[in-house]
Amino acid sequence: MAPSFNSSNSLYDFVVRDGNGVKGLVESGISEVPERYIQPPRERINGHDSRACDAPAIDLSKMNGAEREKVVGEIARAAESLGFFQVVNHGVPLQLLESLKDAAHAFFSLPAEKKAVYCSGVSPSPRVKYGTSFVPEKEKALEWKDYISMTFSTEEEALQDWPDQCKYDFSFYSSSLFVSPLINISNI
Amino acid sequence: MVREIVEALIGKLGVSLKDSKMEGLLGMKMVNMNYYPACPNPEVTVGVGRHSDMGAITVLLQDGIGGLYVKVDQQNDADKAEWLEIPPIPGALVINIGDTLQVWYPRI
Repeated sequence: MAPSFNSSNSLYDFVVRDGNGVKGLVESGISEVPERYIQPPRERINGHDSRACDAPAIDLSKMNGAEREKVVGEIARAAESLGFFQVVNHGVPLQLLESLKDAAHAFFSLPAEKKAVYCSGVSPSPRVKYGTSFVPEKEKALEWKDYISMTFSTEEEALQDWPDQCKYDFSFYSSSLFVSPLINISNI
Repeated sequence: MVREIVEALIGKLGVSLKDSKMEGLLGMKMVNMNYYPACPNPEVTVGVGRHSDMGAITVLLQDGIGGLYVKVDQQNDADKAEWLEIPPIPGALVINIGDTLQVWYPRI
């Protein structure tokens, strides 16, 4: 049975305090977005009015060949203008990318109480934090997102602190990517 | 890969960074896994609000759903801001220049 969120507080407790997150909210059987999640119009992005970026992805394998200067030029132009670009043939095995998405799904599929041990304030490590939205205690409108955030400088730190589901194939982080992979899993 | 991109950008300025400086720029790493459940009214919500990333570089792995938008830099007021969608390309990674590199870059 769907829990009733008859006050903003009960919703907040369920989603934030008890670690159910937006995922738990959706699985509780809601049929519409609770008031607390409705963004003011100026914060919304109207996908129909925006156009898709048509810049071609940059082929990183050419960094080591005759076209290096050209590729570096493409990277520099993209970095200085939009600040965003896509790369292909980046040397990170595609199978590894898939395994990262699997790892994320494995973590978020855990029961709320298993995820909640990583909530801010109770997490066994300051480097690992599970949460929802961005700063829910301060936000008027909440973001439709759950996350787990893990920082590290060395592999040992990560192996010690991270949830087992996320440790999967750790060598990937240090060798191929080196820094800050931000994994984005949606399920719409 | 990240080091290669950053070195290429810095090399373009005609300088090279000492290892210790590079470590200062890239040594601290953060992995975020974001989960956006199916939303019954996606038109009134946001998964992540407008923001810039504070690190040196973000490597983003999208799934096939999409929904990543980038604000096009312009002088006009914010209400007229143009947003470009970065469509997911299978096997590709999205690179985002973060605040740290943006601030560092012209000063290196």
